[in-house]
Amino acid sequence: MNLKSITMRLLFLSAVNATSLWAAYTLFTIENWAPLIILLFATFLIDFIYFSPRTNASKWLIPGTIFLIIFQIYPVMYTAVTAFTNYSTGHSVSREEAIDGLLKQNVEPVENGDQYSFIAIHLGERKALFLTPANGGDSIIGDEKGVKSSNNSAIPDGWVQFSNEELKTPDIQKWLTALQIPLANGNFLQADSFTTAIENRSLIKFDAEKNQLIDVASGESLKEKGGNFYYLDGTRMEPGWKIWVGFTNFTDVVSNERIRGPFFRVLIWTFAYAILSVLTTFILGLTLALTLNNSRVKGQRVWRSLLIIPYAIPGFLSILVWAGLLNDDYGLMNRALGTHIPWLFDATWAKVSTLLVNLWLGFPYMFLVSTGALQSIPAELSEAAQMDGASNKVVFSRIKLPLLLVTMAPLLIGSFAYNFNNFGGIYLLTGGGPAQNDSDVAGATDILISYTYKLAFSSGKGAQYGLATAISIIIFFIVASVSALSFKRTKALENLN
Amino acid sequence: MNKKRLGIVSMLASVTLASSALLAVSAHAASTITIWAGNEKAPSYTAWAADYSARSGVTVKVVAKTNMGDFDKVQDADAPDIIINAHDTIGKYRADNKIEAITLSNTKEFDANTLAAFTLGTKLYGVPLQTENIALITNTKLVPKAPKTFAELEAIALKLKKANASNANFVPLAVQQGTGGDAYHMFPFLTGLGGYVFGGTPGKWNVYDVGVDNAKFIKNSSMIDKWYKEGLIKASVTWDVARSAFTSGNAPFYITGPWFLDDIRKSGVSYRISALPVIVPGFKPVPYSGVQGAMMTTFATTHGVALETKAALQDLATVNAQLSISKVALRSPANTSAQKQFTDKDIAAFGIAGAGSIPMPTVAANNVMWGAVGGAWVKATSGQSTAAAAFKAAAKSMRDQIE
Repeated sequence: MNLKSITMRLLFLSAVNATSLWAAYTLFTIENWAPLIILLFATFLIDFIYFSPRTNASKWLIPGTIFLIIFQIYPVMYTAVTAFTNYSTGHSVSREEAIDGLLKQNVEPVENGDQYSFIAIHLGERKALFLTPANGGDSIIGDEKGVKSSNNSAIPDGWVQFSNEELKTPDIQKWLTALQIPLANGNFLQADSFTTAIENRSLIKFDAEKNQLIDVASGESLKEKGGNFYYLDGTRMEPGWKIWVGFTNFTDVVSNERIRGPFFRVLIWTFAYAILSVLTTFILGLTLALTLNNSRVKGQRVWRSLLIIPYAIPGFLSILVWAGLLNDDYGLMNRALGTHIPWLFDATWAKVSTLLVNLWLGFPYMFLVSTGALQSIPAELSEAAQMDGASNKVVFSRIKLPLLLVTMAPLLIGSFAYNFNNFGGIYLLTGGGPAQNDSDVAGATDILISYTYKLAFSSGKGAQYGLATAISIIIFFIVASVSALSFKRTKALENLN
Repeated sequence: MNKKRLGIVSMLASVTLASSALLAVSAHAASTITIWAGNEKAPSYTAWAADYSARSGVTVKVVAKTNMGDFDKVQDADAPDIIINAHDTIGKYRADNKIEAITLSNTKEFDANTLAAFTLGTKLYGVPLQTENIALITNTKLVPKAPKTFAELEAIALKLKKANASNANFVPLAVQQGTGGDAYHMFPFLTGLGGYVFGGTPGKWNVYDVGVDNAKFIKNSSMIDKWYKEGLIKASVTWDVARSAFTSGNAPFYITGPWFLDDIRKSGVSYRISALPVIVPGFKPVPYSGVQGAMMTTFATTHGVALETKAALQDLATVNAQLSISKVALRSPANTSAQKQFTDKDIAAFGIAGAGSIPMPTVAANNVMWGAVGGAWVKATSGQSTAAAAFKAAAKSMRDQIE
């Protein structure tokens, strides 16, 4: 090893170790143990691999593996795991956090309760409040254990008052915020500013032994169901927390009328949209490629550059421009054509519009790859066929097209998978609309992915990540099986060679 | 250098680096209150923040956020102590244990509806800062005399439409919709024709009483069909079509909020801001109101600045703070005493036009309303269906989805 290599390696590993130590410290402070162990193990492994002379192969593999884990495996696992939880608005925190929030929420000031002004004091490590009633009377000293009466109006001997600066440090402020000084009547005193405290009472309390919330007034345990506690009158308490729900999110797709209703209508349109998008863009792209591949066409380069323009403009931008052009009354399309076609407001026309816009966006890609594929077909093949008396039509259908499809088929399958989940192409143009008469969540042009988005994020319950990930997984299986099937079929084409 | 020593040197180097990183973390712990506000709103809080920092000794930092959605997934260390957002976010925030209840000493200086907008149960979850609502903006050059009833407005708009038949950019009544629909901008028409979204009162909505197909509204809904047929209201008018039509003098009437006030002023069109005139006697066409407010996050407690945050929020509720913010934000201050002292006449006019406005419901069930009711308006004003059928379907859809 030369000096340069050692220095570089040292610097690199120092940076890696420093980053991971820093991350380890953060994980340690938030008490996140499992990731901490994985992190330390991984760091050790990296150090070992780059110092050991016997692990040459791993040195090359490890960066790729790390990125694979971070950007592929982790998101996939996370999605898969989320699909089996009730993760959603209202079920996003842990049970402990939810209970903590509920306890805070269910504190209320006692009507005509005592009000105090206080001075925060300490004696060594002991901290307490020296409280003076707002309506006059004897001062008291209180801490988390209770109150003690104090006969004089001065701070007791030995105790020191916190200075203003000390009072505002996070540690003292945390103590002050959390401090509940129990009173004999079951209520407690709590600071509501740096100098005043009021009498509060809790409507619920946490019973650590039963691991349950208890209604203070009646002493009854609160019902716990599906990641929520319920008040005695049956109303649901918020926040709730994240729990495992097994296959509920998947079975909901079949059993829940609201989701199932439009599911198959949407599924059919999704297939139609994806297949027609691929077909139209392929046919137009190929036609243009064939035309421009003919040497008799003048200005081939200019034409080719012009045809790539739709591909060069960011898709979301041109979709929004198209939405303006297709406007029913104020759009350029109807004005130019002298028509009054409800491009975006009629269910059928909206479907046509999404396909048209997608054609405009997608044909340059097909044109590009077809041009490339055509140029790679040896000219001798067509020439030989023509010598044998084959017409242009036959040359195309019997020689060029099959050879083209060998290279194009995987791209067509990829294009299908892309359009199957072409969220932007639908959502930016029509927003899934127009609304259907059957009053479903899904509009006429909603494809599965935009329908999932609506279900998950604009339903009556806020964001439903659990349900959304479950449907995403279903979509994955649909796309995966269609692709697998198609790939199997295209193997037959490859045998042509 | 042998392998062992190399390893030791590497560890030492990394420990040095790491400890300096730790130092940077602990230095962060001083008393600072961080406020998150949307990109466009944030500048209106900087003057107050500087002033309050000087007065109280606590550093107030205003962070302009491009995506307020970051708050849903923020981790403790980066989280704000105060979040400024519209009142309809409080339901979601509380359900996710992101905000804490507060108390204000000067609640008397706020309108009951404004406070209700930030109330869940019996608890107040935010300081109302500014209110905003839509109003009718009239091009006074095209319409010198203000119409007293909606029928008059309709007649004027249609007469001008006829006179401008060759003008393709002319919009008789510019109210934005588009394919996705816009239940917010169409809300005055819903209330003006006798409909409502939920029964009950602000803060105490009864989500099981859906009123977008109530008998009175359905009876009046034939007017919507008429408006579509005569070309008065059309779903094809998107927000940009509406705005450019009015600012280019091609629309006599425009229904919008103070967010476009700057554009209108710059356009040079002479205008008047007023409430939408009565459509059917007995029903006031009131708009929704949105209230911006400052909420204390649960992170303020974990950061150990809860009491200082409460003090800062109390200061935000004062007349002076609200006046300083509203001046930059160009919105009506929520504090009613500040409102009286606020001198911008257009904002005052928006405030008057918004009298009786209804705060957008904060209940989660309201999420389904936007799609359903917005969709019904689109169907009715693009000729896809009669208004009666469209709103009956919307009501059914809402009832199906509210569990």
